[in-house]
Amino acid sequence: MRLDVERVSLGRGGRQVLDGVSFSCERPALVGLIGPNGAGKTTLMRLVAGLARPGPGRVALDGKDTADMAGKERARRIAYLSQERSVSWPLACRDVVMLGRHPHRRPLAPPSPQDHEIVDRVMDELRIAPFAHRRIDTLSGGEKARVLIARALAQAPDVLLADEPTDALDPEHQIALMERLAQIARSGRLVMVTMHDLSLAARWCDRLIVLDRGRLKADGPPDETLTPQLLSEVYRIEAATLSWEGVPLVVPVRLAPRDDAERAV
Amino acid sequence: MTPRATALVYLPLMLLVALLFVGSLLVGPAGIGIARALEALWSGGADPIVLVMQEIRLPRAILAAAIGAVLGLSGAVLQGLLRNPLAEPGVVGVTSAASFGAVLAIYSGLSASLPFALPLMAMTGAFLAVFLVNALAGRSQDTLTVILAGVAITTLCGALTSLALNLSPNPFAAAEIVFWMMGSLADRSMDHVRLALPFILVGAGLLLATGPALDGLSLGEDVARTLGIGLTRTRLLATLGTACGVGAATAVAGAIGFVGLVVPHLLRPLVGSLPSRLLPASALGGAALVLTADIGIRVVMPERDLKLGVVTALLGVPFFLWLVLRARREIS
Repeated sequence: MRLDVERVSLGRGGRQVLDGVSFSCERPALVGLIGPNGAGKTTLMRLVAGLARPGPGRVALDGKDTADMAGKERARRIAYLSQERSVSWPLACRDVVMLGRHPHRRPLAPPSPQDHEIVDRVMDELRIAPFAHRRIDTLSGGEKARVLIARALAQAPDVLLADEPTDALDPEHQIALMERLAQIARSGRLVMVTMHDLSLAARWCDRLIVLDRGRLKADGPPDETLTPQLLSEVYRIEAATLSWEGVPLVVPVRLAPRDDAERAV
Repeated sequence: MTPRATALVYLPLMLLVALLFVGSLLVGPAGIGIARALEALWSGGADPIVLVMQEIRLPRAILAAAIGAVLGLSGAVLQGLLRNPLAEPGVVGVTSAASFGAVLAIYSGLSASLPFALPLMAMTGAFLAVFLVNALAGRSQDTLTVILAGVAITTLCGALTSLALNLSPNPFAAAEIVFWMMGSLADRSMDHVRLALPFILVGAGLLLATGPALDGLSLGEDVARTLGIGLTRTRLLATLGTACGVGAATAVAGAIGFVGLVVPHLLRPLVGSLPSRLLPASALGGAALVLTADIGIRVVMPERDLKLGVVTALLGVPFFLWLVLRARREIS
């Protein structure tokens, strides 16, 4: 399976949110989409998910334009975890996970034995089977994140898109979640995540795509992309790039010095 | 929730509706014995008891069940669509828009020349109201915006109805207009059933079809779309279904408020909150509630013509206030 993003652009309110971004991915891979606030990460994610039109460019799965796919066909191949993690009603966890089977079910038909089997399996995989019947509003942030990932996996997608999944989680759950996403990628999927934590990105992603003001700034393995020069140019910070027990760490230290012309603005 | 647990909710509700339906047939000033009453439902002839049963009590019971069902159902659908527990045909302005449509049909004399003008205009009013709420609330669809949009529409329709009342040519027309604002099932005939029931059934069908989409919507609009759910189609089904069902209900019974607010709220915990399971349950619950209220007004004050809409509003408003208080506590 191959995902091609070709020259996607999107303008909003006279501003170019995305400007001719192109890249290709093949599974299995855990791809991190990084960049400062307003770089266009979420917009790019929404484009790949089919939630917005890619301007003159296109997003293709195995050569087929995703805009030409029916909603359910695309939903069987691409799952999306929104930054917005609220669930409107106090649903039972298992019911939430079952929602992921929607694109595979016939309209108004009850879930098939296969649907039940897949839901039970992903709940086992994510260790949330014990709270199958608990209400989602009674779970902690980390548990809830797992339930929502299980929902996306129940879609049995080739591509899993997660918009800032580690946001608002404590360090323990951030690491557990990244481990989980890496494992999902190893099981043969393409996982794309947007994130702000550079150490987590460097540690867990196979590849980083760096966006800056709507443009693709760098694309490659973490150790090649997260250079001091890029961190200064894109994030405008100086960071300590360390290695601790073989684990790469990127620790932001201070703002990068700017030239006087820029400071005046 | 297992299918068995779901059945444990549906079966008692169905039994309750059946019992209340029979109960509704047995209550009335004529004082007919149970056996005679039920026998008269099926027999022919011009016996006064047969007439009372077939032409007065049966249409009243059918309308109470059907109108209650579609009001409960549309409340559950609107709450699921707007992801807002305060949504309800009455609250979002559909009921008042439908009754204004009905008033306009009477006032203009259109209903006298064309029997279908009344339900059609009520439905048009209902349709415009749902459309306007969607347009006014826009993408945000948060509690406050939706309620404010509903308030705006209700106020507008109330003012226009008052205007029609103000300008009404004779006291008779004024009395009839006031009737639409209160809501009642008294003195309804089989003609009313024939007028409203087809639209109510079509509306209920459209509303029930939104179930799976509403389930997906509980994860937010973006995620719902990536699950392959067509939001435009869902909104259209809900809008047309509410317009058809609530419009037709209001056309024959006037404004009966708060059924759509109270019923889904009471039943939600019993079905595990999933909209697709809540919809049929709310239809049954709505039927049970309106049948109960309609029996109640005949038992409590048989000699005074207590209006059904007045009773549901008196019961519903405290409940609405309680919900508002709870929502405020959640925000703070």
